[in-house]
Amino acid sequence: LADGRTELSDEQLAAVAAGGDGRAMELLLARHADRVHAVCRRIVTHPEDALDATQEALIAIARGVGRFDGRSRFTTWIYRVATNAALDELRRRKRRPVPGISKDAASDGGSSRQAGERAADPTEQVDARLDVDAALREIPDEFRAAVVLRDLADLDYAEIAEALDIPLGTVKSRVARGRAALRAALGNPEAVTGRPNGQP
Amino acid sequence: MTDEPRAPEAGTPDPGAGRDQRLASLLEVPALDEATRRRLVRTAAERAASPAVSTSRSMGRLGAAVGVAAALLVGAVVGAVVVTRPSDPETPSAARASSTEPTTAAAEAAAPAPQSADDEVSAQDPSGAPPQELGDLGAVRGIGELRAAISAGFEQGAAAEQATADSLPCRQQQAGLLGFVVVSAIGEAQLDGLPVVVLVGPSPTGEDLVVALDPARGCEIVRRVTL
Repeated sequence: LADGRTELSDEQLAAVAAGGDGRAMELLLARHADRVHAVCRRIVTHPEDALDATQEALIAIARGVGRFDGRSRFTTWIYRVATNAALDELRRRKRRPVPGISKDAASDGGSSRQAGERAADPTEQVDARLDVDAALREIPDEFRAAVVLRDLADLDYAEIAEALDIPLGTVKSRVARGRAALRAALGNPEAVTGRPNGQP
Repeated sequence: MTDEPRAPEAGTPDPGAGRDQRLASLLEVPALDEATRRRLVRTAAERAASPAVSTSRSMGRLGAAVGVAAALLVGAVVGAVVVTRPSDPETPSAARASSTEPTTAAAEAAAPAPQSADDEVSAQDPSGAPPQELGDLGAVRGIGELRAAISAGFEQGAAAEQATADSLPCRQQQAGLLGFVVVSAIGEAQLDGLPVVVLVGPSPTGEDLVVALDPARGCEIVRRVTL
């Protein structure tokens, strides 16, 4: 882009966007849409619901960018918003039937979903062999969020504590136990140090 | 939940502090396709820029439909007045008909084009314009698909009355109780496998809302989102 907006840092672009520059806002959102979607996708574990959560997160980011105070990295703030949107989506989903994840499907990792549906989502194509979604569903939401922020988003413990608004020690605990449960669910018994199915 | 910290003491190296590369690669998510990314970004930017203004294509049609419905109501009232004054030499019947004829596709969707002024008067409810019938929106997964189905419903125009006996109570819910100023369109769908009645209309703050009600559970609100 000739106007140089693309050269701006996230924080600079956020400031410009907060001032009402629509193009800066679109650039900022486009820059982070994939990472927002990735976090939502892995926390929600359902492709369509993850897109809904991503949309809500991007709207929240666009509306809230003026409140970003710069005390943390912009990406940390982005992940915080994305995580909240994903957890909200999960709460909504628990109040209604889960599409494509009947009890039977959930128990077999969702494999009873139609092949066409699975093929439509590239993440599911990648996951087909290990069924990462099914494994993620086996661990509690808050553990899943912690693991996703640590190992997918690569936030450090302090950033996760800020994103989830929980104490640092709790972050470490959730990451450790979430990882153990996830490894177990993925079929790595040597790593089973957490509770079965991640239950308290 | 009891997830008390079991973290290493301060100053002790934490073997779990690093990123788990195997999990990281398993959790990786492919990038969004360009069209989806653009749609998500555009929608978010538009909503943020003008939260009280309709932004989607379907809302443009909704706005048009609501406007036309209001115009038709006014036209019907005017027409009724004119019909009750048949001897008025200043107002030829052809002129009366043309004055209330819908002029947009949305208008055609909202109501069949009247054949005459008298027909039109009899087709309109003088107490208020009925919501546009969106018909059966089909089976949708997630709000994204529901929004698209509503958009298609507006696009396809007036559908035949699709109300089932089960859905009638939900169709007759008071708009205000659901957060609407007025319900401007109604349809039915299978949202994530659940039969729902879908109501569309503006909120008091100017946002356009979609509310999905579960007729099997006393018209409980299943989803309530902006369009």
